[in-house]
Amino acid sequence: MIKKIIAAFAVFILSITISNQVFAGPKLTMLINQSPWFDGFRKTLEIYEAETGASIELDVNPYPAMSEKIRNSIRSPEGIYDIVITSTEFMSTYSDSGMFRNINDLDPDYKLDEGICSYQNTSYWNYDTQSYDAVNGEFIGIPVNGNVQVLYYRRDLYEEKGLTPPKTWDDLIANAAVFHNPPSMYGMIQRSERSSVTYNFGPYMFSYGGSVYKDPSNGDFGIVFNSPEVKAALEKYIEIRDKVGHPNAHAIGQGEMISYLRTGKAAHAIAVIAAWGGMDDPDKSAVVGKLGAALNPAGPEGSASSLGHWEAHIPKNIPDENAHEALDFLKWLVTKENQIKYIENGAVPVRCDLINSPMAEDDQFRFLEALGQNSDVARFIAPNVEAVESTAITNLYLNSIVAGELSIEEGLNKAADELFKLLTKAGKNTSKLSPL
Amino acid sequence: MQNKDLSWKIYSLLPIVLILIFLTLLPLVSIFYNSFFDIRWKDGGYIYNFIGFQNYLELPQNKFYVPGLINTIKLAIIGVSFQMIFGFVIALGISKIKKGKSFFVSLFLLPILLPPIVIGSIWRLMYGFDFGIFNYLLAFLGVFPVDWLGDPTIAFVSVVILDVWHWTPFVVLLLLAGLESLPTDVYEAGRVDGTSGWSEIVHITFPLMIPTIIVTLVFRFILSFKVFDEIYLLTQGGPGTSTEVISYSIYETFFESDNIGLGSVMSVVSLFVISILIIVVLNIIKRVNKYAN
Repeated sequence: MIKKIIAAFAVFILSITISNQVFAGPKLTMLINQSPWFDGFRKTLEIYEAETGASIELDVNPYPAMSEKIRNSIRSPEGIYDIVITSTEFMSTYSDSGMFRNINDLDPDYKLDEGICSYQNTSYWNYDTQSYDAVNGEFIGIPVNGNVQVLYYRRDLYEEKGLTPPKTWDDLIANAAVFHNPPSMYGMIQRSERSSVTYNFGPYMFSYGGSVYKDPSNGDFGIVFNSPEVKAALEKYIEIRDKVGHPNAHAIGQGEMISYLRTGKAAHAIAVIAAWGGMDDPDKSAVVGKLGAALNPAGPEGSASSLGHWEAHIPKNIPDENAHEALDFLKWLVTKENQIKYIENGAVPVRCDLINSPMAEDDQFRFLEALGQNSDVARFIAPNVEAVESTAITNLYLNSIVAGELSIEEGLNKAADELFKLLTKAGKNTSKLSPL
Repeated sequence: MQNKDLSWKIYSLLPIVLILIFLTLLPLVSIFYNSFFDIRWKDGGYIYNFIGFQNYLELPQNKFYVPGLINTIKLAIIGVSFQMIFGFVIALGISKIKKGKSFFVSLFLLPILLPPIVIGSIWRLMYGFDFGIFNYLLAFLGVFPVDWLGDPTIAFVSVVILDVWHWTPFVVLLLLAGLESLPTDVYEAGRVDGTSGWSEIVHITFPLMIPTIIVTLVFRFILSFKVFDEIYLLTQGGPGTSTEVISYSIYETFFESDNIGLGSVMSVVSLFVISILIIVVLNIIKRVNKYAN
């Protein structure tokens, strides 16, 4: 009996020793947000853990909690998270914090291969010019989610009516008018709630040649938000709302927009590609297989989209061993082979070479072509350190305009004045246009 | 002997006084101190740049805080008024129930037992334009759907409705406790004099309840300045700034914009405004008590 107990104990000790020897690295913690692409990320991480024996614990948070958690972790003497991810809303602010490791300090030879989308060079931050700069900037991030906005449309209804995806905003109005029959169906759903209207307005603004800042990549933070181009884009945005949109657009957020699409009450919407995951899930959607994705309609300057991707960063305040392990995972994640698994799991890829691959021919992955097209024309709305405050200002005035509280001219002029004050106070090279 | 008593009092009170200083006064001093600086995080440390009263001078032009302060005061006055009226009526009704009183008390307590995050989510769904139950019921009655959260005026009313629903039970609870502790002999004497029904409420119950009503009013008035969860989940201050409140402005400034200096000024000014309002209310109470005596 005693012999049996000793033998069992020996086997137990041996099994623990062996399992510890398979992967001797540290257990990592990663901060991530709960979003439509999260499941795809988690499944892919599980593959990595099974392949390597590594262990990465995910701290999953709602989007609004992300910024605060990143701030608290990177500013403490010892970081809680070995990997943090930043969205375009606060990416620049944290990139400039000086608290992210230069990837090349961990691996001098590593560089992002050409198949990975560049996203206006958001992996490289130039501390001197406070801008994204692939030439003189430090390599501080690796993209982990290629979220951009695309045009969702009801391809089943398009086929029924013999329509083709709209090329211009006027085409969109014409096509949407065919289906616009509120409250059963809205021709177009816009997401103009105060917290997200700037992001949703981005494709319209850029397609008319408008922007918030004149030339931020070259350090010119002149305010051009009250330009005739932005005004024209906003007029079109409101025209679409009035003719084929939802009268309550200024109270619609991302959640509601996705609900309209999934319940079949929206014929079109410009939404993040990350929302695609649930559209073909019969447990979540009433329009399985019925949606298509396309390049956003064009304005006078062509089609455009707004960047909403996520970059992963390795903080400075974690042990070197953890930092190396974190980099190993990120390098693994962005390889071509693993990005295919990433797509299959329902996440949004960051490789532009896959987006244009034969995989896009598969009906299951029919969103890939639109993702590729929109990624090519996607731009960063506020690529500056003051992005959070800047976006709060543009959100407030755009929402007030769409809600009918301010005229377009009054709202854009007021927003431009506020932005000018903000950038002047921050010591940026700025200027402003004459009022509209 | 007297000295021994004094030392005992000092030593026994010292721990709680120290805790009070540490938890209350130090944060206040810190916020007041920070309000004179532009504070930014850079290269692993905070950079304090003394700017005197600049943050204070900029506050009146702030596009979020000023409407937020006005809305908060409006919400406190309108919301608390309705809560007091409904709370008194409901408490009076429950106090008259002979059987199953505990059932009704439990039922009315439900809203304050639910986590605010749940309340906000439920009401956001109920207020939904196309999917919400309110508009569904209105459509059933043939009424055109209401833009509960989209119309700037109606959105504020929607927030008031939610606040009244959420906090009326708190008022009911306090007033019910007050009603049940009223002396019965006064009522008996009143009945001998021929009072009953409405006149009993007006001439006996209400005057006797004034101290409880005032305490409840002050409680609710102070607490109503803390409104945050409902706004955060329901409207995030929009449309425009029609439902902005000071807690949300301070949260956004501190935690989203990371502007510690301005956030501190907002906190200091809010504290000042609330203190003034409390002093006014306490003075009113003093006068009412004096009058009652």
